[in-house]
Amino acid sequence: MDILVSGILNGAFFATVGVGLSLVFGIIKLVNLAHGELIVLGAYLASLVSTWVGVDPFLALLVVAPATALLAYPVQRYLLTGLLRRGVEPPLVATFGISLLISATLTQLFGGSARSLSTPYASAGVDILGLRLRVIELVGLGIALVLVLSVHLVMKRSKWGIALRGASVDPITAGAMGINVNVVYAVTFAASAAIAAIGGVLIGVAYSFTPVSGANYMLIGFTVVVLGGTGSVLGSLWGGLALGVIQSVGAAVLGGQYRDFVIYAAFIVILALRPIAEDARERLHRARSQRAESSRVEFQTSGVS
Amino acid sequence: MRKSLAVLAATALLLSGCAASSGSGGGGDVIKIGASLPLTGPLASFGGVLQDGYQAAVDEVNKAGGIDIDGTTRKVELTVLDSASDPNTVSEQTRTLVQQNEVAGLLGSVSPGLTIPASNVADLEKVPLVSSLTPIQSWKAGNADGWQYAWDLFFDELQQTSVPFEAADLLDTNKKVALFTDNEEDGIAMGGLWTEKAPSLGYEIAYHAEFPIGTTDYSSYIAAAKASGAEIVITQMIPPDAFALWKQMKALAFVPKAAFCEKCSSQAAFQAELGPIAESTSTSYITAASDDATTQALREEFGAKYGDTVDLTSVLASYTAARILLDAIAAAGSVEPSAINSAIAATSGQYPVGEVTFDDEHAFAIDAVALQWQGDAQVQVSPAADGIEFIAPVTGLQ
Repeated sequence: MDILVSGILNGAFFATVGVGLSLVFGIIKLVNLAHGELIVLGAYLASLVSTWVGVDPFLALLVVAPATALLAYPVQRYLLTGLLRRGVEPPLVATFGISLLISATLTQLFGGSARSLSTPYASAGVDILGLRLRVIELVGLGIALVLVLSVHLVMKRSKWGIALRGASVDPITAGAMGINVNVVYAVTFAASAAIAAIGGVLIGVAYSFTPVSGANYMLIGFTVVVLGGTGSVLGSLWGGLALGVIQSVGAAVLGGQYRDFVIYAAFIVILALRPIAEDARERLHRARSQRAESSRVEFQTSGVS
Repeated sequence: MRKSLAVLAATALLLSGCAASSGSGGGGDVIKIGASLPLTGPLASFGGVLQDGYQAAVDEVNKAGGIDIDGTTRKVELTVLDSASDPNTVSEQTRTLVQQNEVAGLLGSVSPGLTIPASNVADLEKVPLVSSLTPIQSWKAGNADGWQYAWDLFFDELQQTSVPFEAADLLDTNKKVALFTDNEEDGIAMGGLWTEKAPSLGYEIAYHAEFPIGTTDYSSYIAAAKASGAEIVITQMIPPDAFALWKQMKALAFVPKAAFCEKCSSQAAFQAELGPIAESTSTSYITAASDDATTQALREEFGAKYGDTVDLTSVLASYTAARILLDAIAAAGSVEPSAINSAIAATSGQYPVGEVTFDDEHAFAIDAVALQWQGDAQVQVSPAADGIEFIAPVTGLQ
């Protein structure tokens, strides 16, 4: 039981890491290799703000999340969107360059040593149903749920969400209908950066971070996106939770030294099985359509006779 | 996708090439020595400490005028490259230091994972390397045929293995131990040694958690350690991972009577980042026993920066490594690698870590003692020192 709960709570962290990546991939079709560094940037900014102002790191997010978004907006608006028109590789390489730039700048400014964000609840625990749980993990679960559901609702229910989806499905037609696709892309990227900053604070409080620890989180993010379905915001929640449980159970069964192996083995298996599953789904869909079509013809024929 | 990966790989190679060539090169009448250090990455907190010790030795020699080579006094130039805590980068940069920077000697990194790749290049290129902050048994195991141009001075794991148990003997415990070890060379080696040695010292390894570097969630391991009834925790892991483990032990109300954070607490950063949670956590580490004028001066110079912590001892150890290399160059009166190597073999002198002479396997073992965080200082608790109490249970985790 505690292994399952531990996996779910840890999976919530993974979901928070994955949701921003999924948003950018789903709307802009951009593989953002700097997402991990944006997470770490958020943690460092929160560290600065909370030290300077003397506030809780999560309260510092009121400044840090918009600040990270403001930094990210022009990057997409004036660099990546232009590169997207030239194909997949240029923006991919550009985000890789941005990741190196962020990492090098943070190292220059803060040194390479590991840091963590200090709060009293970072090491606080609570007993629930006979299980001793970490307060910060419960906070993480709450944040993951609120983030994913908010983004999902904005995407599905708001006019802005319709514009986002329109720009994602057919940017040319969306542009012709008055949607400013460039701005939509930039806002999406900025929102993803703000979400990354939230993840960064969560990780900084719960664990620790260094200027180069973003790469690990990016890999986790990619695994979440693949598990949950590329570009699916809700999927990133299921993907994160599933990844947490897979890792926790895998480590319990095979031994702790295999916790990373379990994640990437699952990643490869899902990548391998996904085309087969999609093919099967496609066939099922076609068979249902054919059945419905023949039923309709039969009905019409019997009606005529 | 394959094309994308090719572009990525090419970019990465280009960027790593730029980083590698950013060190000093140049010619002139200077004696060049170099090191590939973890200035960034998971072991970054050790990089600056090593660099401080190396630079102090170089500055001292230059201040005294330099080293006489064939009748000409030459200054010493230290080139440091950032390995980002990556073993492959260490190999590549050490080769760069030898082939492009043409260094006369090399200085080591921290931990077997980074020092062994540098030592391999030293042996391959036949350029002497002196390292510190790398446990000597794991380092020796890195070359079954025996090192030829590489030298190491630090604690011997066989001696260090006993230190936590001997310290725990000072406390009233049930003699049950929970081990937490990562999958680095020294984590695997120390996990094996503690498991092997515990019964002979009257202890039982009640639980052993093994995990990869970068693990963030330790809750299931902590639950198992608690369930095992262990009253002593011994860990061998990198500092960032230890921050997470210590926070989680506190949150999950696991308060052992003694907690040793080996390698992870071998840094003042442990206390700086964890604050009160670090209180009364222990570690075993080398001592800088010498009390000569040089050691005193170094303690004074770096005391303000590092306080009374293991970082200060690490500076003294890395200073010793650099000073041994520079003394060997001076003794050889040449920058010819084999002559310097022979001079290192003949080392016999007083340094901050003690009277150094290398054994046949190119190592010098420095005795380890048990230290405990008490306030802002790490004080020696075993062997017991006058007026210093070994605090139990671990108050920071209460």
